[in-house]
Amino acid sequence: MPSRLRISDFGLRISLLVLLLAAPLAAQTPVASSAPTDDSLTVNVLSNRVGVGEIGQIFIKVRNGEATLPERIDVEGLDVTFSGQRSSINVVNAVSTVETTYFYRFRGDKPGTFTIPEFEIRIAARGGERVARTRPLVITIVENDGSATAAVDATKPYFGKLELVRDTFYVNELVPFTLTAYVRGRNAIHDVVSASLEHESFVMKGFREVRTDGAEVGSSYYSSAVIPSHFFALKPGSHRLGPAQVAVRVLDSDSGFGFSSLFQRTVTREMVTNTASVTVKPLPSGAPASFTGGIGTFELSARPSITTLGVGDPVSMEFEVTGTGNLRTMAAPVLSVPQNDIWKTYEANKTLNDEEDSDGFRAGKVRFSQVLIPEARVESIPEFRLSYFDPTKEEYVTLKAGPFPITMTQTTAVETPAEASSPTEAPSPAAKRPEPSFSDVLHIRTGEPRWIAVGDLGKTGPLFWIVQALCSAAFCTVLGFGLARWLAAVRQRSAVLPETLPFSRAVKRLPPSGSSRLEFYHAVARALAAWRREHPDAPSQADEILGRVSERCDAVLYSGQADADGPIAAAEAEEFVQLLRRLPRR
Amino acid sequence: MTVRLLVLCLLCVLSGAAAKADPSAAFAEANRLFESGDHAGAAAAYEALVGRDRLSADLLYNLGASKHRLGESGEGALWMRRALVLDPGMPEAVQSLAYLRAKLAFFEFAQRPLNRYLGGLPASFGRWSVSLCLWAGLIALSSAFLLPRLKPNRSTLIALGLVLFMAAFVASRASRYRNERLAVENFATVVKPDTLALTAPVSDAKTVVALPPGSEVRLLQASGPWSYVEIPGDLRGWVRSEAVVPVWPIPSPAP
Repeated sequence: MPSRLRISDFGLRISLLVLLLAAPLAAQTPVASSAPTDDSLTVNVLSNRVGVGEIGQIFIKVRNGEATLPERIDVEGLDVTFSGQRSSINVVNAVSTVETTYFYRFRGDKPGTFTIPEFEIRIAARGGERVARTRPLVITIVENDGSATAAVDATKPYFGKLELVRDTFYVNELVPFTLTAYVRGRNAIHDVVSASLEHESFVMKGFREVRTDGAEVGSSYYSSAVIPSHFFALKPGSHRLGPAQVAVRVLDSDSGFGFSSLFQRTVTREMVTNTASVTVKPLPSGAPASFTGGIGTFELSARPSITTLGVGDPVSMEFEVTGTGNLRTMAAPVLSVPQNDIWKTYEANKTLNDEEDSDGFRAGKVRFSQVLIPEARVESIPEFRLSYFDPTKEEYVTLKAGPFPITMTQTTAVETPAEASSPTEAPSPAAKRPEPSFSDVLHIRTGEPRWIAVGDLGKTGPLFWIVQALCSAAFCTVLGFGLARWLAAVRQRSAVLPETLPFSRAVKRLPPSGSSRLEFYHAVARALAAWRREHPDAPSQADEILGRVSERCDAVLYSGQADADGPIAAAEAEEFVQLLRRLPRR
Repeated sequence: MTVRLLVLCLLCVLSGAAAKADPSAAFAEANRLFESGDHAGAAAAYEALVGRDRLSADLLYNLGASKHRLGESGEGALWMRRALVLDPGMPEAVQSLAYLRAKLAFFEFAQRPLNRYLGGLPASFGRWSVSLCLWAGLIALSSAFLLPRLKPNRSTLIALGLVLFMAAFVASRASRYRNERLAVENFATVVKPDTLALTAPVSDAKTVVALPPGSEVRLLQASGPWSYVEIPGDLRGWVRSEAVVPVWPIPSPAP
């Protein structure tokens, strides 16, 4: 398949800059001298001995021509793909030469010796198109099991390493490991782009932490980026783990025009690590019933949410398991003895935060919460057990929690039979109450029932309305009494005017003894005024009497006497009544 | 054959008329069926009595015991709770419910003392207390202003009237709280086994909690075949409407 290749390398830009600077010189030379003189083809490989999974590189160099190359070269056992090209222009003795290098990457997943066969390349040159053939290349893919010496590693500008804490472990056992990227030079690693290690029989934790460092490898100094993580195996057996891929951004030593701190750029380098052969052992048989999948070393603590409850009340058991090992495969503790018909249990809820997970070195923490409901009266929450496998001791270890004493509350239902059983006995605080066993419901009631009309339930009875009527009658009485008094007062003030009231009626309307003195004397004054109105030519004797009576009235009404508002005595009232009756009438 | 049928019908009509006239006789007959071991017949006889216009706590309790004997313990708990509506202190119902609670491990609302007190008040408590307080307050205030002989005690009467008005307000609020939260009409009992409270009114919704028969729930909303209920423990969920039956009022029997 022909490819459309483009020149986009930074080196070419520099070459073009040099060419522009040299253009005036080149313009003075004959054109023929700048024509290509050599269309030779060179094929080379960076290293023909490459580790499994590592990337090797093939160079195809073409002078004074543009080659058309396939994107992929088919070789069984090898993956060979085109990866880019770079051109440069050299001017020597006023003769320019354009040299284009085409790059291929290859990778082998199995060890062995492979041959990249010769293939045709079409080269378009100034003299016309021609076909050239490459030479066969022999590539050896070797197993990189990590045993390569430092001297071998030191020959590479960058490389990766996979290191395990141990190569023999149990199923579900947490195994820490590190991926390390080495790049030649001090502070050569800018950052880590990606890291991956995959295997269908292993569960890997994501790579999140990076620790940069440096080390002498051979006689060279390498910067390193260490990426720790851990995994656990799902299946027993022998497995080959890796190679892992690591991509890091490294500082490009060719950039910066000599001012590295200002203009330095980074390039991404992908590297693969060695492989590691591991042996995964199955867990030994004879696991206890309380084994819930935990592998490591753990401690268990537990507490009930409440310690006072009644039958049917839910209680939550809170468990906390701490330790180093695999917490992800661990399930909640279980009751040491099944509690059918005594305790109803629900599925436990598990809480494991990533921040609190164990990484194989540091201790982690997982919490379980389980709801239990007592179905009968009990004295304690029973014992729980949690078994795990300790890979160091190579044995199962069982942890215990409980039993937890609880106080069962006496419900109303429980108390009632106790009271009913001894109705005649005097209640004593120290008396022990009988404990019912509650083995069945009570027998039916066979006595004469007290029938209630369904329609009467919740309805307002006649008594309610009778009471409402009585209350309203009382209220209306008070209200009516007050209203009557008010009306009488109004009528008395407005309807009975002194000018129109005759003397005889004024005398009749004198208030009785016991009423207010003010009121009484007002009435007397009104009566006197009426008599004067009716007897304008009264004898002097009568005038004298009237004068004395009027003086007494005025003394009471207008002198501000302290007892003016008090009740009038019967004798005083009678005296005035007699005086007024003795007055002559027409 | 026709004659026999007619005689049977006549007997039924006559016995029905007699039972209608005297429910105690029918009650005694149902008790006899229960004691003879015919729990299904006894339950049917009790249910026939429930459909009439007169009820008794004894009748409801006996029906609950019959249902329990028939293996319908959820229904048994329901009828015993109904018996407690008519007779809140009925010892037989209280004790048998305690047994069913231990056996079925059903959920029940734990009531605070004040709620228990308010819930135990009769339904007419609100009407009585509010009306009496209002009347007394009105009479006190009107007496203070309209009766001259009580003029020296006017301030005392005004204070008494205001206190009574406040008491009427408090009684009104308490009555409303009782009717909306504590009244027996708000509660229902789970009568079907394997009842689940779900997070949504669809069959494939997630489970909130499994409700054992006899569990007490508070009805919040009915939505066709689903009911939204409050579950003891501050939980809420959707249950099938046919799985829960209101404690009160007793629904009329199907014709």
